[in-house]
Amino acid sequence: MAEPPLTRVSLLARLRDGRDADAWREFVQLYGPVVYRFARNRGLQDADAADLMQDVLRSVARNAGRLEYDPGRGTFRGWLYTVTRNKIYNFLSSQKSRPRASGEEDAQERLDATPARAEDGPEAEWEREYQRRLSARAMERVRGEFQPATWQAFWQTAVEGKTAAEVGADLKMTTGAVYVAKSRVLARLRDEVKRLMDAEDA
Amino acid sequence: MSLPTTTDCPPITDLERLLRGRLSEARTTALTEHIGGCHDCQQRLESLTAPAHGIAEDLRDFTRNTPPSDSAYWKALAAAEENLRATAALAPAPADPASADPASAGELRLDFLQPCQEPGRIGKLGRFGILRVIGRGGMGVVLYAHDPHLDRDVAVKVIDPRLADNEVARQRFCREARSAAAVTHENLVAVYQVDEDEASGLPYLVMQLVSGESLEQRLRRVGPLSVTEVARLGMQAAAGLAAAHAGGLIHRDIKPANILLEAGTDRVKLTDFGLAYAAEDVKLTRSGFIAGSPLYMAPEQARGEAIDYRADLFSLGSVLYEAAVGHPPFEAKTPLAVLRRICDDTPPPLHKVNPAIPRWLSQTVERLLAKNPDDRYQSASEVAETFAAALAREHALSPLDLPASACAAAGRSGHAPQARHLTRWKSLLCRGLPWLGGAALGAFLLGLLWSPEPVERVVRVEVPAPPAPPPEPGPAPRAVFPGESGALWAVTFLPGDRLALGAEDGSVKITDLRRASVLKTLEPRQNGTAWSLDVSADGKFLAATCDDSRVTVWNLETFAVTYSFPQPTSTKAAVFNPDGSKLATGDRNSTIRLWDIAAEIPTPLLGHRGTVNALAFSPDGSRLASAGSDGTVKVWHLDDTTADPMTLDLHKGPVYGVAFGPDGSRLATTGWDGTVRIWDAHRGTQVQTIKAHDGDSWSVSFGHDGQTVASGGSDGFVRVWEVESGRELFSYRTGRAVHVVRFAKDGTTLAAGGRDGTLRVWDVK
Repeated sequence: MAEPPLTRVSLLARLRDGRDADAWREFVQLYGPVVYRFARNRGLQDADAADLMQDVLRSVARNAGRLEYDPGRGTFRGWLYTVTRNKIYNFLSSQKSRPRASGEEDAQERLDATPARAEDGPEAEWEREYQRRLSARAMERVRGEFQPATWQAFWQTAVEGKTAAEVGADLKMTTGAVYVAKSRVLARLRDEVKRLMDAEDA
Repeated sequence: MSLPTTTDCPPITDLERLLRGRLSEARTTALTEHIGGCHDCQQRLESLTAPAHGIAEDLRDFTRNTPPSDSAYWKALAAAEENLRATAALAPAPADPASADPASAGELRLDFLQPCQEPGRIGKLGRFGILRVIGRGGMGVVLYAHDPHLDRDVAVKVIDPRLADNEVARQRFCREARSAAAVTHENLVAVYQVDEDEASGLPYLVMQLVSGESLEQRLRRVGPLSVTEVARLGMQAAAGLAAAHAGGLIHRDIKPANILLEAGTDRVKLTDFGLAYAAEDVKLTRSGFIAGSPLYMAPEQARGEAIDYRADLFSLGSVLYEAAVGHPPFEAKTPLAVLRRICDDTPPPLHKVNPAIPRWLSQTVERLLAKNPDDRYQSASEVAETFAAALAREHALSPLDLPASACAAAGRSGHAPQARHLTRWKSLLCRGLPWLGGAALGAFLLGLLWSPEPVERVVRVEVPAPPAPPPEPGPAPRAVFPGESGALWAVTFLPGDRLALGAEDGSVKITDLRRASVLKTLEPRQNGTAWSLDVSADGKFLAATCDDSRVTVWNLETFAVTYSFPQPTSTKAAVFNPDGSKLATGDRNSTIRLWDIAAEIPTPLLGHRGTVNALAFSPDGSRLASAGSDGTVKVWHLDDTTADPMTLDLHKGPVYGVAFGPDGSRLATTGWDGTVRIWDAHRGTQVQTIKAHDGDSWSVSFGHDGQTVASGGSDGFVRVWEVESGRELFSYRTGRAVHVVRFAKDGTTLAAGGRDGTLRVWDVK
C-alpha cells in the first residue's frame, strides 16, 4: 500500500501521537466551538455548554489512541457527534432528577425540541455547525496572508453584502481591484476549508 | 510579445491564475482594470468563486453568533487547550503503578496490564483502558477502567493471578460471574461482561461503576444508622438478594464491604456475587482468602456444611445488626473464636442493646439470625416485604421507593412463594446452574430516576413445573428451533415465512420457518438482552431495542444497519407505526419517545412512572398504547401529543404486554397479576378478564381476526383464548417461563419463545 503524502498527515493521526501539542490546539480550536454551539442550540446555558465542551474534548483526548483500530464506526466527526450527543443526553437526564424552578421547561423536552434553525434533525445541524466552524477557522488562518485593504474589500462585499463600487470608494480602490480582492480571498478560503477537511478525513 | 488590450476579455484560465496570484504584475494590473469595467468578467469571477459563497455566509453567521466576551466559553476553550496540552506533554511517560503507590506496591501486582501510551492510563486490559486501582479484595483487584467502545467508565475486576493458576477457582470465578451477569436488578451491581485477557490469560469481570461508598466505609464514617436507614438498607439488600437467588446465585459473602451505597441516592447495590465460592476450594491460609468473612458467616457455613440461599439471609441479619448498633453480633479475638460464637452464642436482641430500637426491627433481625435455616425467613423477598411494610407503617416510604413485591404482595392471592422457592432451590442444586451461557444482560444507567422495577419480575420468572406434569405438553408444534443464545425475549414474523428472534445474549437472528434454519445473525450484536423486535409494515426494516439503551434499525434487504442511536437509558420497546414514518420507543426511565424517522427528532410522551415495558400502535396509526411497570396502560392520541392519555389502571402490579386488535376497537394487556385483560380501546372500559397464568404473564398477541388472543407466562404455558367468552382454546406447556408470544399476520401461525431459548411455532386453527 502506498504511503500517504506527508502533507496530508491527518489531524487524527497527529492526535493519536499524543505528544503533538499543535494538533491538540488545532483540534480544540476546530471542534470546541462546534460542541459549544451545538449544546447551546439544544438549550444548555452558557456555563453548562462550556463545561460540556471541556468534557467532550477531554473524552476525545482519552480516546484518540483507539480510533484508528475501529474504522467501522464511521468518521471521526460522526463519532464526536455521538459522544457529544450522549453527553448532552446524560447532562439533561441528570438535570431532570434535580429539583427545578417551576417555570423551567423539562430537560428532556429541551433536548428533543427542534431548534429554530434545524429543518432536518440534529445530525444535519451538527454538520452545519461543523461547516460554519471550518469556515471561521479557515478565515482565522488565512487572514494574515492578505493586505488589510484586500481583506476589507473582501469582507465588506462578500460578508457584509456591500457593492464593489461602494466599497471601492470607501477603501480608495478601483472597482476592479475590489472584485479581484474579493475573489482572491474567497478562492483562498475555499482551498483552506478543503485542506482542513482533508486533514481531518485523511 | 504584445499585451492584450484591456478591452479583450481574458480566457478563463487567466482569471483562475489571477485568483491564485500566478500572473505577472503587469498582467494583473491590466486584468484588474478590465474587470472593473467589464460586467461579464465580474460575473465570470463570481461563478469561479461560487463554491466559496457558502463560506462567506458562514462567516456572516459566525460574527453574529460569537459568544460575548464574558461568556464561560472563552475560559473553557482556553482551559481545554491548556489541559490537553498538559496531557500531551505527559503522554510519553507511562505511569509506573509501583512508584505511584509505594505502600501497596508489594501487594498490587499489575504486571498483567499491557502498556498503554494514552495519557492518564496506567495500562490496558483487553480493550479497556485502565485509569487507576479502585481497591483490592480477597479475590483480586478492582480497576477503574474506560470502555472505549461504549465510551463509558466501568469497574474491571481481575482475578488474583495466584487464584487464576488454580483451575477449579478459575472455572468457578467465570461460572459464577456469568451467572451474575445473567441477573439484572437495581440493587445489584450490574455485571456487563466476563472475559479472559488474551495476553495474560486472566479472567476478568466488567461491572457497573458505582460512585459512592461501601456500607463498611459509611459505618466507619458516621457510626450506626437510624432505624429508617436500617430498614431501607434491609429492604433494598433483600430485594437484590431475591433477584440473585431467583437467578440461581448465592452470595456467600454478604458483608458491609460488599454492600455499596450509591452517592446521592443511597441506593443499595450488592456486589461480588458468588466470588467467595471461587476461592473456596483453594486451600490458602493467607488471610483474605477465607471463603466468606467469618464475622458475617452463617453457622452452617462456619461448620463447613452445605449451604443454600438462606445463608445469605443470616449474613444479612449480621450486617443489619451491625448497622443498627455499630458492632457485629459475633465478635471475638480470633477468627476461630468468631466461628465458635456464631455457632453457639445468641447475641443480645437489638432493643436490649439500644432501647430506642423498635421491637419489630429487633425481631426481624433476630429471625434472620436464627441458627437453624428453617427458623429464618424462607425467602429474601419475604424479608424485603417485611421491611417495606414497616417503612410504609412509619410513612418513611415514598411510592417510588417501594419494590413491587411489597406494594402488590397482598394483591396476589393463593400463592405460596416460599414453597415455590424451596422447590426451585432443590431442583437447581441438583441440576447445577442452567443458563451458564447467558451473556451480560447489560446495564442500568446510573443517576437516573428510580424506576420501580418489580422484584417479582426477577423473583418469579422461574417457576418450577407443576407437581404432576401432564404427560403431553399440548398440540405438537409445527417447528421447533432450539436456541443457543439464552432466553428469548423478542419474536416477530417477517415476510416470506421468516422470523426474527432477539435473545438474552444480545443476538438478533433471522430464521427460516420452512428450512428450519438460521438464515442470518445480524451485526452488530446488541449489548445486553435484545428486549424487543418490530418489523415495519412494508417488511423492509427491523427495529431492535436492547438493555444497553441503543435502538438499532436494520434494512432487511441488505441486513445493514440503517440507523442506530443511543437512548438515555435501557430501552424495552420500539415499534413502527403502520405507515413506517414513525418509531415509538419506551425506556426504563418513564419516557416514551415518538420519533419522526425522517427527521430523527423525537416527541417525548411523559406520564408513566418507571419502566415502559411494551408499546403498540393502533392499526390506523392514530393512537399508541403503552404498558408500564407503574401498573397502568395508557392510550395516547397522536394528533395531540400534549393531551393527557387515556389511562387504564385495573392491572395489579406492572403491565408487561399490550396489543391492539386488527380493527383497532380492542386492546389486550397482560402483566404481573397473571391476567389477560381485554378493553374497549376507545372508551377504556374493560370487557373481559382472563386468569391466564399462575405468576407473571409476559406477552399478548391477537389472532384469528381479533377473535382470539395468545398469552405466555412464567408458569411455562402458551395459551390461546377466545376473546368473547374468555374460553381457553389452546394450551402448551414448555416447562420454562414463556416471555413472548406472537401471531403471524394470517392470525393462525403462533410463535412463542422464553427462558429455555427454544422457539416453537404452531398452526392454531
